[in-house]
Amino acid sequence: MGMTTYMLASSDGSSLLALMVLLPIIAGLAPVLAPMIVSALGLKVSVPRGGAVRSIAFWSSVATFVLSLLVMAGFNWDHPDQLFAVYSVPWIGALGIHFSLGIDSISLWLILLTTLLTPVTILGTWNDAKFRTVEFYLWLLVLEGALIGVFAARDLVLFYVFFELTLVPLFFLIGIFGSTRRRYAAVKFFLFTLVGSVFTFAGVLYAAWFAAQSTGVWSFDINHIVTEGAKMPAATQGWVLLAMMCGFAVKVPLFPVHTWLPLAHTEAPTAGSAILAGVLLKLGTYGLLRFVVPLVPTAAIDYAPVIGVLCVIGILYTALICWNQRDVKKLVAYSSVSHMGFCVLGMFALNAEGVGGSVMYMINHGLSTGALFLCIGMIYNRYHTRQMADIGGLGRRMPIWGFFMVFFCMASVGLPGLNGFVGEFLTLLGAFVGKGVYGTRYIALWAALGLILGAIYILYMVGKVVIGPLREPADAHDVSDLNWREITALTPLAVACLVLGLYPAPVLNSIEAPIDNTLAPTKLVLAERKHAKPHAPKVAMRDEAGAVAADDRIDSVTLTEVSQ
Amino acid sequence: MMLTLADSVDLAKWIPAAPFLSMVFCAGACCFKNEFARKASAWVTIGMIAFAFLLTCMLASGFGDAATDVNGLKWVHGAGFEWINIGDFSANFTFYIDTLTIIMLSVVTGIGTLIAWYAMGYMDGDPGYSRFFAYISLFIFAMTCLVMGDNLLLLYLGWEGVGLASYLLIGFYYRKPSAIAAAKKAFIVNRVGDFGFALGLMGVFVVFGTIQYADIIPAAQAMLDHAHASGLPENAAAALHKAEPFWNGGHKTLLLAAIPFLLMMGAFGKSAQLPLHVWLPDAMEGPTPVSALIHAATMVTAGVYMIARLITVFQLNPEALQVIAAVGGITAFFAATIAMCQYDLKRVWAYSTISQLGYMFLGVGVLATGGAIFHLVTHAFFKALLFLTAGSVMHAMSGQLDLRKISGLQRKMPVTCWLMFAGCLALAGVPGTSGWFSKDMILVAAWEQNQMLAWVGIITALMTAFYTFRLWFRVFMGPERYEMGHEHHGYPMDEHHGDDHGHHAHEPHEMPMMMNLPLFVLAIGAVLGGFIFSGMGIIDMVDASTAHVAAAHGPAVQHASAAVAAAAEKAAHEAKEHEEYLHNMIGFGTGLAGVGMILLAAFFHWFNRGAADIVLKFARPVQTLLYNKYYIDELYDAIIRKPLKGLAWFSDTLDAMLVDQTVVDGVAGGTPPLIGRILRTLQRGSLQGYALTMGLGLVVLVFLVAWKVLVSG
Amino acid sequence: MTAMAEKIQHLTPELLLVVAAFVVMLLGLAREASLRRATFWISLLALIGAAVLSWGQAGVIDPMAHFMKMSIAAIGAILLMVVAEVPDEVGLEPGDDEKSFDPANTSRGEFYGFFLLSLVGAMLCAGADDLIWLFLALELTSLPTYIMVATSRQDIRASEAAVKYFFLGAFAAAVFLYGFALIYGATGTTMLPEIAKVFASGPLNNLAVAGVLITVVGICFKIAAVPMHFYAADVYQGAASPVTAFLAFVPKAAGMMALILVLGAVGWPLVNQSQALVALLCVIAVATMFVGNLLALVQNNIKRLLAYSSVAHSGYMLVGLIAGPGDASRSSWLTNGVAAVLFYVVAYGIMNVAAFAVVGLMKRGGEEVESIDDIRGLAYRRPGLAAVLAIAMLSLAGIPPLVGFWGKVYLFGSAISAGYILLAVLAVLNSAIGAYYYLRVVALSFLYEPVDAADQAEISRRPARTRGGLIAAVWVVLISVVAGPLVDSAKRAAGQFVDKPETPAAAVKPAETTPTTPPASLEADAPVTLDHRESVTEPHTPRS
Repeated sequence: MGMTTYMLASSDGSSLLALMVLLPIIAGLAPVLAPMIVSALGLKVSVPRGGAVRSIAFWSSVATFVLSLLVMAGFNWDHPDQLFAVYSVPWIGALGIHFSLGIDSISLWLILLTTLLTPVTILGTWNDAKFRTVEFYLWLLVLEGALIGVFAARDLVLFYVFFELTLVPLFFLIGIFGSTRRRYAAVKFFLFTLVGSVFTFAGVLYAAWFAAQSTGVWSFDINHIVTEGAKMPAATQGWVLLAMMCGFAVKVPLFPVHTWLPLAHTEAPTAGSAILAGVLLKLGTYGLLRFVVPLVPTAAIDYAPVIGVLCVIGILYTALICWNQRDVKKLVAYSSVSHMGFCVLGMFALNAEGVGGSVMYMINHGLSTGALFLCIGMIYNRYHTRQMADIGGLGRRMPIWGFFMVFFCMASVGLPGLNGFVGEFLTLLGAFVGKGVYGTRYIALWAALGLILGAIYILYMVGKVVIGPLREPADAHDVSDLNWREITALTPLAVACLVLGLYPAPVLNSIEAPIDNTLAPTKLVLAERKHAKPHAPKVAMRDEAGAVAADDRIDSVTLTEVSQ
Repeated sequence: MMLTLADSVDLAKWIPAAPFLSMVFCAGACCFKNEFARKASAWVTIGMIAFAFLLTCMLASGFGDAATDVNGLKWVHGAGFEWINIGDFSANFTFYIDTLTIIMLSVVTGIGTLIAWYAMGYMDGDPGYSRFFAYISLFIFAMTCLVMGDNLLLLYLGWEGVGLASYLLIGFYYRKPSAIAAAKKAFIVNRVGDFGFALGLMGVFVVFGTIQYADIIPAAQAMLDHAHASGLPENAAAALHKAEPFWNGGHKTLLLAAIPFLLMMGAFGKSAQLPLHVWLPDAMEGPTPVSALIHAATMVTAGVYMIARLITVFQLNPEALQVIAAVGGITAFFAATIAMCQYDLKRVWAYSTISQLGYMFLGVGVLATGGAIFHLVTHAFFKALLFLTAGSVMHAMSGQLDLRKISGLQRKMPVTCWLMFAGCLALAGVPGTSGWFSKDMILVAAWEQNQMLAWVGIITALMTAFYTFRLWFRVFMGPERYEMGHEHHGYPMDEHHGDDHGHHAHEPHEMPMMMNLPLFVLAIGAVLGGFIFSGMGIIDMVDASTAHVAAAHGPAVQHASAAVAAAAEKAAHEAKEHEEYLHNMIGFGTGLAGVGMILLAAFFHWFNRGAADIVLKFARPVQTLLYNKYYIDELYDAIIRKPLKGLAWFSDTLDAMLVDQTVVDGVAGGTPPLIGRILRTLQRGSLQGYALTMGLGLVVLVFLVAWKVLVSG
Repeated sequence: MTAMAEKIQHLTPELLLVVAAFVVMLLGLAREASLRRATFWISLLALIGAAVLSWGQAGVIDPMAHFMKMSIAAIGAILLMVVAEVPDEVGLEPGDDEKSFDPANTSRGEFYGFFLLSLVGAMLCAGADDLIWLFLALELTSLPTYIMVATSRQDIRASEAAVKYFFLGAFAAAVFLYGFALIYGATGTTMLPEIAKVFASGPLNNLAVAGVLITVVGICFKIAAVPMHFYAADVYQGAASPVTAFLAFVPKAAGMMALILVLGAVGWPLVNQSQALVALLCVIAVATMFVGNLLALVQNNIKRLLAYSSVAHSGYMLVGLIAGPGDASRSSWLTNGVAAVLFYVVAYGIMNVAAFAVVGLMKRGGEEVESIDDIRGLAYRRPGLAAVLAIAMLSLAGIPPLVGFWGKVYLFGSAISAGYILLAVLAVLNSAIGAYYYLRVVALSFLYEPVDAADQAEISRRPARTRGGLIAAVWVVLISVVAGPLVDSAKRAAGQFVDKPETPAAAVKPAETTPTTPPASLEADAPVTLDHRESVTEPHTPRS
């Protein structure tokens, strides 16, 4: 504590970010390395195993959460778009790569999501790691560190390093601790996302090179590249967008590159699913937000309809698939695909409402779906099955669990007053308003059908699993409701869901400025286009939505035409 | 306690907050199984709702002075907190309080208190007692948000919130598969409506740039005035929308024309109008107080409230209003026909509710918002009464609700019998009762606009009188004969383990007086409500909230010169006389005819039940059709649910077989190894072969390149 | 000091190793078992000494030679630990009993000797400034390896591998010797600096270009690139795994240096300008990447898998080689492909050693394991070894932040900077394909439970090899985390090839005026017509 206070006082918390990235990784590695060091030194000290490792993992993740709260406390809320706690040291100087961290409010919220979800997940899956415990927590904590790193990175290569680094821990988490098809799932997850992201990597290199070409300065600094990259000619932007989309769309995942996700989710251990759904998917949307939208604004506008259509297909198609699932976890997994479709849809509306909704969606989906996976894990621990045919009406056996399950289902289905709604509504609103970008409101219209389908599959699941006649596997006995540990794990998430649903204002207000910055290049392009074609139909719907004097809300020209 | 007026507006935020707090309390109480927690949750809920009612009364008394008059609308802005603000979009937890709000609040909290009181006794002994009151509190919270919100999004929050409460309460007896199915159906059908509502909301945002009533309504008024001033037909927007499809046209005028239709979808869903009515009858799976509160008195009227609130926006597209009126009329008639042939006590009342809601839609559709809201209020009283008395019967009969199996209960349950009678009188529209007053208002307004619809309404009123008393005579009159049901608190008897709280007498028995107390209040409202509310000037109160309706009704006096004004006054006088004449004709005509229908019902269902059977024998196909609710559920199942489920199966299979196995694993994952296997054939391990291939490779490479060099010079 | 003496002074590390090689060969025949065992320590010390001596030659010799000699000696030391126990495993090695000693039946001394000599050859390659020297150095690298392969196992397959390796090696040597001859014929000199002058002075001579083409194809044998890669899998499979580790690194390093030197003599501006050379190199690079990866994909034999992986990595390195060293004006940029290649050679060497060390430790009935299934469940049995293997594999797959990733950043970055975007895209695609088989190894060792104890491959007790693998893995991690110094060194090492624009003004100008300048020397010349070059130059045109 003294140390952190010192750091806060001495350097604007800049080293706090680095500490937040490293702390979990070190805490994870320590129990692995400790025996080696002890034996190498010939000491006779007992090294932590099993339960002790779990405690170390839990408390270090709590410590990371506290660190993130400290960062939040010190954050410059007056200027949420300015980088805070910038920490930069040259890493590979000859290649212009820096270990450079810094956050704005969007990063901050996502980091908070990560640091909250990790201890909660550890707590919620306390007894899951029955073997290779040290490894389990190693990977979990490395994953946390890498995720924080992604959100904090200010250097494009560093971003990519963390982005890819997340694959390794999840590969092991799924492959070692997962269900029956875990190995297939782990390899597929790894390769599928890797194949996509190598192209992203090529795009990153190209963008860096382009920025260097135009400025004469070689740097992977994200701001530098984004500022310069926007000057790329349209065709080139298209290619860069394509390259970036390869990686980010797979990670999101967008239809039709989503098939790794249901598998990975279903096979992953609970902790893996929770973090995967909770945070990892957001890397894709975060990447889109940080790199695609501002870096290639012209292409983002040009390709928005295509992406929008893919989102809509994804939303509806996977929602229908959810309805046909028999495995609860797979249902929730597919629902993530559907939900993330909303997230991307809002983003490519390229207006404040849509992108703001998209960011909210990232946070909210993380909370509610992460929690849903935890809930399902708690059931799996008790019954060792996730088939809806085997379990049903568990609300009677486990009312507290039933409460949480229904609560998070409602958050997930976008019930107003809970967090899911804010993002879902704003993304749809953005898409609706963003007609100038999408070219038609049909995209929003069809996407809104997802509201209905979402209700159908979620209620289908609730009706099967939570309520209805009690159905338990024959060998189940002494099944008890959630214990205090599990309740403690779920409560913060539930509270967060409720608070963000009723009072999202702090988040929304703080992300507005960074979003404006992100959208500035696209706005510029849209304005240019409008200027170039004064007689063309209005491109920016934003203008239409703006305040218009009461009298001329109906376009008088059109009215006259009609009256004649 | 003296309160300044500002205080009463200030306190308004406690109206939603009070039930919210009781919800939290009851949720906590759920964790404790002891008697104290159960009792406390009931008392806290009742107390909090009553407190909200008290605040509403204070608000009502303080309103007149606190309200400001903006563009002819008198309203008060209630402070709250920030909710969703980003870009140009803004929706906060702030309140818009006008007379319409106050009327709705009074109904919600007033009737809510009474029903909660009743439920305290009714639900006694239920294992989910605290849970029940948590849901009720949730409902009241959402409903108050719905009616108090100053913007469409907050209305939407309440809208979906009451939907959730309804879902939870319909599925309250969650072990019954039928209850779960009904709950699911209610939520999903409502979602279909909400889909339209959400789009309408977005459309409002695009067109008006805001979703605050305080900005939308004046803007819409200005548009209407503009259209009048330009000498355009009122349905200018509608004309435009015919010119090109409004979705793709992109012109906001076209969007404007679409908005009422989209919002209407939401209203139809929530208020169970055709074709989205299917959920309401099934919703009767919930505990009876819930049916009374949510599925009769309050929630289902939210659609009427919404249209009344935004009537100015709807007026921008008169075609939409016509559609609303038509749908309302048809629904009223259609549901009444079904109600005539149902045997389940609660289902009859359910269809009756749909039918009465149809009247309200007819009312708003013909711009009689005052009449519609008036009917909403009176309906809340008598329908709540009818449901609660039905609940008493159900309670007494251990869940038995079949009209064919109950008869002559009058001697066993005299209080219930006459309480229900009071409700029946109002529902049947016997002259002088509250239902008669309000229904008459709607029918007269309809007559002036569209006589066809008025006739539909009148015929429906007659049918209503018939089926209402069919039920009452069946249940309470005639020989005393009954068959007990097999349920207790919604659970099959055998599942109920001991702890018999004395409700299981083998004889039907009357409710304790404590429980009947609120029913008396409701009965007074049902019978005398017409006098009371019209005496309080409910029509003017509503019109004050929907300024343009008032302005449109009275010929545009404000625009006219003095000379014209005199002529207009004369015309107005004549119009008033004509209206009175209509009131007399339609009101008493229908009322008396209704009494005739009651007598008819008495003949068939009291004095000579055999005759009814003979008549039925001749009308068997019709009766079957009506008994099966026109097979609409089956139709939906066949044309929507099954194909959709099939599509779901198809998508799932497609995803697994084509997208994943074929494209991803097969093509993307299979091609590299395939090529690898082909390349592998070159690696045969033979030294000579290697040397040869290497040599060939060298030659090919060098030749290829050398050729290029030669070509390029 | 005479030129000869100066030259000899430049060769002190090599001389030290040669001396050590002879000493070791002699001591290998000693009756004293302890003396025979000392050969290991002598070799190790000699290698460390050579590394230190090379380090001391900074500024004295060519930067590349300095960097590579040091690296080869240092990696050689690790390699030595890995191969050290090979003679013991052959089964002929006499025991400590002096009486049973039979000079004909010991191979330890000669094995270490050849090992050192081959390293000397590789180190000599680095400093070559003459085609003849280069040829001799290349052959000195290769010839001992033929014997090492043959004597590494008491197995007919080792002999077969050695024979194949020898014959095909001779064939390849003949090819590049022929190329050397053509170059000599066209330029009239064998001195590389002189050749460079000739190339720089006039238009490209077709004969010279043909010479370079043939040379390149010939040297492809050393780096196991298409179309000269056929031997790789058979030889790697036949040789003992530790020796394979040697084969996968030392000849490849020598070959890459030879290619750099030859192309350096031509000069990259000319290379990039010559469609013939660019086409040839691109075709070879792409084919090598694809062939290596696709063939590795279908292997169940771990050694063949690693052999094809080695082929694929040569393909990646060729990408950097094509990109070339860039020009001085952008020295701070990710442009120096040659530096990338040098960095990658070293990185590849280390991770490769780690991988083979683990494979070399696993035995089945005294014979080396070959089936990939034998790795199954390694993490349950020996987590440390499994970790070493995993680090090596993930690094080879290019998973960040491991060193293989940094190597690829540099290689592909330089390709993009030089405008070879399609090439870079194909390269990243390949690294994705490659990830599959590396991951398969990791998956087998970590995600699967071991088979029944009776059916398990045993893990032999080879302390030196274990340590070697461990040290290599630690180095992989270390370089991954602190890659800066090595990259700097590689950059300095490649400095000699960097284009120096004629006028300083020209170097600064492009960055400021047109954002689109391809390498400065290209500006004056006719546009290059290869498709992917076009696709790259197109976006450079300033927007109107």
